[in-house]
Amino acid sequence: MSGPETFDRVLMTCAVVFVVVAGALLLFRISRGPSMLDRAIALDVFAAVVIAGLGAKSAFARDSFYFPIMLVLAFLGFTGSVGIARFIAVRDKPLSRRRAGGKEGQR
Amino acid sequence: MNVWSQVADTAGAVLVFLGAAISLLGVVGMVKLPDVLSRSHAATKPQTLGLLLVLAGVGLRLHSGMDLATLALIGFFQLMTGPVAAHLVARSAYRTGQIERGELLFDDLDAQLTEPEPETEPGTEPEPGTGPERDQG
Repeated sequence: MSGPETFDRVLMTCAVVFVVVAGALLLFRISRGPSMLDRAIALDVFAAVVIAGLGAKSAFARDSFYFPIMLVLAFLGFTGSVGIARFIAVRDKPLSRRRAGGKEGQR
Repeated sequence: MNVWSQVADTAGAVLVFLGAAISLLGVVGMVKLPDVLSRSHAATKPQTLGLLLVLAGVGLRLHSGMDLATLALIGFFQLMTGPVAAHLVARSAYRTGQIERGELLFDDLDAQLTEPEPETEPGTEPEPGTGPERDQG
């Protein structure tokens, strides 16, 4: 009985480690995204990664305490990126006159 | 019955592990890909497949009906809200000219936007001259 339980714990610990590494890489992308749209996408993925981390924690501890938080994140996590794409991105890079490609830099 | 419960627990742990691994792979793609649209392509993997695998794993380890319903709602809302954000981000990237137009194989939207003034910026103050093509993206 102890063998599969230990296997499950090892798997879910690896899952939590993966989620934490993914969150760190996303923070890197958010800090130096070339444009605000990259940050918007990264924030959207970050909400999904937070939901996945809370799910891994819930699977590890077998409790459903964080399920409402996951629900709210799934329901409202996209509003930040929608707001950025709708109102800030056009202001962040104001009036790209000619659509000549490759002017974004860092590409 | 105890054997099947153990099998369900192990399968749930494996699904959680696979979901976290797919999330990590998608995030690595988001870090390494060079463009807004490419990153948006990589961003859909953690949002849909990774998260659904994790939720399925959690549902296999928790056996309550209310928990399963909540997990189904989480997956449903994530699937509903993901394309909205991705669509708006890609639309804004196209409108503000932040994509590589030379690397596109097909550009069906370009025929609608061949105006002499390309800055039909969405969402700001309404300009009367750029009315018809505003909400077609």
